[in-house]
Amino acid sequence: MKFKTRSLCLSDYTLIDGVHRLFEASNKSVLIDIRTSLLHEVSEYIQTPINTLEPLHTQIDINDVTSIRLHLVNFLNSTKYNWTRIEDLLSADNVHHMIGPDYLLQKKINISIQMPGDAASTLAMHSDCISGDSPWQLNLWIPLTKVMGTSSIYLVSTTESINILDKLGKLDELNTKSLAGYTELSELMNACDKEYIKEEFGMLSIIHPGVLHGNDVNTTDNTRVSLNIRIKSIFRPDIQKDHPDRGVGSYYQLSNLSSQYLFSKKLTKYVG
Amino acid sequence: MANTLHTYSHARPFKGLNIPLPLQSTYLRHYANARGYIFSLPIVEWCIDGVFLELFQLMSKSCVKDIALTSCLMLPSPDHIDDSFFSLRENLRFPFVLENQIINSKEVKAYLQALEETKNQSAHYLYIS
Repeated sequence: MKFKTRSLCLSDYTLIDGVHRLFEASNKSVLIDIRTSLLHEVSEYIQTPINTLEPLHTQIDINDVTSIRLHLVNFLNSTKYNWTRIEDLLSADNVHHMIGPDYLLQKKINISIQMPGDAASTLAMHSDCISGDSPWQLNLWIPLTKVMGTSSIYLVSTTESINILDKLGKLDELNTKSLAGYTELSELMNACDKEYIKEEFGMLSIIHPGVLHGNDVNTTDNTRVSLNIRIKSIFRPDIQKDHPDRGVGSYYQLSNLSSQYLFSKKLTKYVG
Repeated sequence: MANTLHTYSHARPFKGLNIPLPLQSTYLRHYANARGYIFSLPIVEWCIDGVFLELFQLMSKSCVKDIALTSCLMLPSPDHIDDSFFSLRENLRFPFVLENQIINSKEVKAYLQALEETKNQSAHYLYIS
């Protein structure tokens, strides 16, 4: 029997089919509120009032990026915000369509700051699944600034992602765990076509965690500030490796349980 | 001006240890702060056993001078990696926080070999009747 696959068709725009969807935030006021709060926090931190995030690099030293970022991560994950309702950013219809009504949410939201010319903050091409993230989860990437070109992140096609992962897996059997082996693999990765996500404030991307992605030195005139957080259906599997720090409690928290789920759970006591 | 401490962590178990990433990050950040470094967030290695691609790419960056690890046990075993691997950059320094050692890239392999030999001797000693 041949099964048909059905496109989700949730969004008009995709950079790479199957691994990326672009959405308008369902409630833009949530993003405006976050951005305003972050501007306030940064202003207090640097003791200079700022009104926009894009020219952040003109106000702070490149060497202070990590400390400011950690300060903002701690602020966002304090009790000021309730990140347990992802429907604030994506409509419930979209979330439920993609992963169903019963899902987990990453416990901590992350923030990235990419200032122009900051080579130390670049992330080489990688897949989030390399560090134990489930390939069955979804990653939300939410820029708080306008992003385009090297101020953004890039994605690599599914075909090239699989090709690189295949070669990486064969490093051992080919006995090429030498400088030459890694150099060859890096050259292959550098030759991949990179598709940079272009977004305005108020939009967000859903990205497959397995796709190869990364960022280059920001050569634009704007600093990028973006958020990222992960959601996963309760019924979708974790990665098939031992990654205790990617479990419920340490990495994910319960976010939404449907009434059907709750009734079914009670029922299994009698019929399960 | 203070140097940037680039940091590197493993999500996969290494030599019987499996340290949660947030603990590794905290440990490395405290190390950086205590020594006046500018802390750079850890690069996480691929979870495929025996693969050190992220380490290689970090070592390749010309702006990187110091790469701190929670432990030297995260590095490839000396018999598992070609001699050329650590000679990629001669002036790189590897602070190993758990071992409280800073080893130059030229000496890393010899350091790991010495540790391995000592560990093997100790292990064999247990079986001497």
